Amino acid sequence: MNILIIGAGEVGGHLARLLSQENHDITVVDHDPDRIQYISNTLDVLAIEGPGTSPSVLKEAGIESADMLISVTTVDEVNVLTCMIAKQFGVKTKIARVRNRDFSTGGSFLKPEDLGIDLIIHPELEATREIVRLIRYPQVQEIITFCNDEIAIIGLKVVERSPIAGKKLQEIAELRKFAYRLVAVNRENRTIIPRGSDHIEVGDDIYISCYTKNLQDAFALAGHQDWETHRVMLYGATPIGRMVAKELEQEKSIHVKLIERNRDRGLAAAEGLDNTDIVVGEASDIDLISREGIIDMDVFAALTDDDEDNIVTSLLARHLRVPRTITLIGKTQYVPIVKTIGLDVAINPRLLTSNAILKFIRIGRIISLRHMVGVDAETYEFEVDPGSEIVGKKLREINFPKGSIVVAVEHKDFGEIPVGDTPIYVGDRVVVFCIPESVPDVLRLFS
Amino acid sequence: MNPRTVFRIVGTLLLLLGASMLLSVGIALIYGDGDALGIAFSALIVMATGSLLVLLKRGKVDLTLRDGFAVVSLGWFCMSLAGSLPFLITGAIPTFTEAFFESASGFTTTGASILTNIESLPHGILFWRSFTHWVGGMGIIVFSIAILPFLGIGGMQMFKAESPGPTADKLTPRIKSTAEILWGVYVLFTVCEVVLLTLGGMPLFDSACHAFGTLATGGFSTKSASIGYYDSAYIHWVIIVFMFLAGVSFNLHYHALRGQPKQYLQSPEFRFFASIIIAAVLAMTALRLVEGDPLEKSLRESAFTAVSITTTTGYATANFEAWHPVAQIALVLLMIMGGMAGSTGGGMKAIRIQLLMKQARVELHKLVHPQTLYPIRQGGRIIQEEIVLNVLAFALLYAVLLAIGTLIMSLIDLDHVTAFTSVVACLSNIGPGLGGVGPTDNYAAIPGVGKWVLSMMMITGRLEIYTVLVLFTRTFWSR
Repeated sequence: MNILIIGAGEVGGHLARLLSQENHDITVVDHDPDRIQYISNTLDVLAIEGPGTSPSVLKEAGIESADMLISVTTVDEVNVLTCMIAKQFGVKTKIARVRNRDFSTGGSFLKPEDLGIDLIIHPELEATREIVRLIRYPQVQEIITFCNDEIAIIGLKVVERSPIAGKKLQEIAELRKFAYRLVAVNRENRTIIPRGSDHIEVGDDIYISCYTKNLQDAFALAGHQDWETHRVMLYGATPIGRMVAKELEQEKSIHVKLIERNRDRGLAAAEGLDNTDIVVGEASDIDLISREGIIDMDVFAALTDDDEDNIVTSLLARHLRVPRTITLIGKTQYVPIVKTIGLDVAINPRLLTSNAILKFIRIGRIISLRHMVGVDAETYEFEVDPGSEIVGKKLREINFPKGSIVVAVEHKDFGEIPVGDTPIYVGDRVVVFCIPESVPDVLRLFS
Repeated sequence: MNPRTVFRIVGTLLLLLGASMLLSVGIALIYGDGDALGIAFSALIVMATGSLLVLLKRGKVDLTLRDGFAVVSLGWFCMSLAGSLPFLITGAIPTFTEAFFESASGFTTTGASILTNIESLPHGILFWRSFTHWVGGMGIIVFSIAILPFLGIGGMQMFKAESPGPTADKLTPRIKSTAEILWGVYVLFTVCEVVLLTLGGMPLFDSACHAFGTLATGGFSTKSASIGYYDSAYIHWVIIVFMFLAGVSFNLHYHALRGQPKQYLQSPEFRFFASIIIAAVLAMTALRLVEGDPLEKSLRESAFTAVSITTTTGYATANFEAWHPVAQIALVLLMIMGGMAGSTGGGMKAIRIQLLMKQARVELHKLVHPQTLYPIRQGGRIIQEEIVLNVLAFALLYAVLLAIGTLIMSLIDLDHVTAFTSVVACLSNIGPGLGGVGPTDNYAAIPGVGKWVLSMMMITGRLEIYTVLVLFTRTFWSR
């Protein structure tokens, strides 16, 4: 497929890397010569320098033969305009990142269709959804769902109470009380797809696929008690902070305190928030947060625009034994250090944006591809072709490449956590989790 | 640098090269000159060495920028070594120094030969000799990128290190398909020339060998008298046209074949390159006419010589050493310029000369208007300062190598014309020079040390200096 990516920033670069590894013809356009230089030195893509709204540049980039255009520059208007131009050129699929919600919310004058956009990605909204989900299920490091939310992959940290800590996988299999699969283990920043003889240690991050109705059982497996979130402290009345607070207000049982450094911003936030306490001050001020009851908080989420501030205040909350911290990280390069310094979860709007785009792109047999932040692996969803060699076989009969594991199988009308005897039919959707090295082998199996 | 990865790719290149020797074995069997066994044995050695190197490393190949340079430089050196085996084993060239020189001269498309009686060589060896040109012309790295699946992004690093010109332009998003296109055009042109030469009465074997030599801008012939052996104006003109095509960027050919022949004229480098050649041809023809030669012959020989020298091919139909001295000096200057970026030609490349001239003019303007900005434009686009600086440094390195080479050559008792032009002819991958290495002489008389120096000049020149010289810097080896 010919894919044109406008904007070679972090999102554009990340998308270009993932998509070019899957043998797509990628052309990247950016006006910054340094970015273009960097991209063409590190990726097997065509990188063209110039403004993404210039028809002559777009022509040079081959827009006439492009199947898809993804516009992820930092400027909303550029992204929208590029998609409109692409529509004129007859590009089939147009995706734009738009921060301003006026384009994407219901009351808008101009609907995405009018602008010729098939998918609008709103990074702050994606981040908000993720944060709210993590606040609702505070035990979870990460969660993605499949099959109409029937099945989830969740990342959990194994704590001392866990019944599986210190055991081998074979022993764990005997304790199996509900349907789940242990998909991956992340230990000291290394991801493995575990086999029978591997064991689980306290402090590991385990990734489990299970039915969403069994989430509490999965939590218990990692040693997490069945607890609910009642008290939340948010730091930063940024758009994300305000949206998170607004969402959480819908739940009667959750009480939110929002700390904001700037008085005017605090007041502005107060206008849209009825049941949230807004406190003016710095979250790095221990006296202040103690006074506001940090000790009793279930979750602390640092959501300011300042990465360093977010990291420091999250560490502070951690130090004060808040069970759960969530840290908003704008710079993708900072994401890996979050685990190193002992924080729970990082939310990165850029990675979420590329995830949302990847989820939408239907690539051949691949229905969606998703990237999890805390684990070095990709999750692919495939549709099984009539011609595929795996049709009619049971899972145990299929020789899956090393470093990959089937997470879920979605039949015509229901999703299933597979066992060795699960058969694969034509039209099934198979969700496969695999480490980067085995991606080509897995793709071959389904092609 | 990751030595295992580098060796694995070099090993793969050797495997490919060994396999390609089998073609010459086939030719040798057809003609039955008794050289088949020797070439087959060489192929076996090369392939066995290649397989051994490949087995050193398995799994994913992750090529860094540095590995790219190492692979290309080491690869070309090993290829030249491997290519000398058929000459040595069949006994066509008895000494290692001379066999290496001939092989390096082949792959780098220089066409400088140490053979004195070419007609006495068996067909298999003659074919191999011309075939090395063809492999080296478009580049074995580009070829391997086109056919090997595992090179991916690492391929781009190697592509840049091997392909001529200050910038390497992709035609398509994937480097693999760009490489496929370039080789496709190359093969197509070669086939066309073979057909046209055969129609002109040249035997098929000679047509193939000369087509290899032409499209690669090489210069090895199957005759001692080079193209001058054929007394046919038609053959001369066909070769003139194809030499010219080989000196033009293959990216432009691709666009032309896709129905945009206007792109030729839209390219400032092409206009510059073509006008210099036309000017040279007209001037030389005029000089010959003044001396009383007939018009057609003067025009044809001048065109052949100017095109052959400028594109760095090195075929000859006339002894230009008998021409007016100003024509000879002009030819040496054309040697230094060479072909276009993205062609199979050698030399400094037309675009570099063009940029240097523009930069020189800017400096003159700046003396009068110190505050004015004078960006360097090429085809309506502003050329980044970094590229201009890169070209300036390239010109300096070229001059330094020329100076060092000439000093060494005169140290071993060659006269100054021979010393200077032999280094120019090898560094620019041309073949014939002036004096002791003129179109009617060859390199057999150069002492052994000189042959090694010239061999290294050829490889350094073919890989455009930087790729080789970077291996001799400390930064390259420090972590």
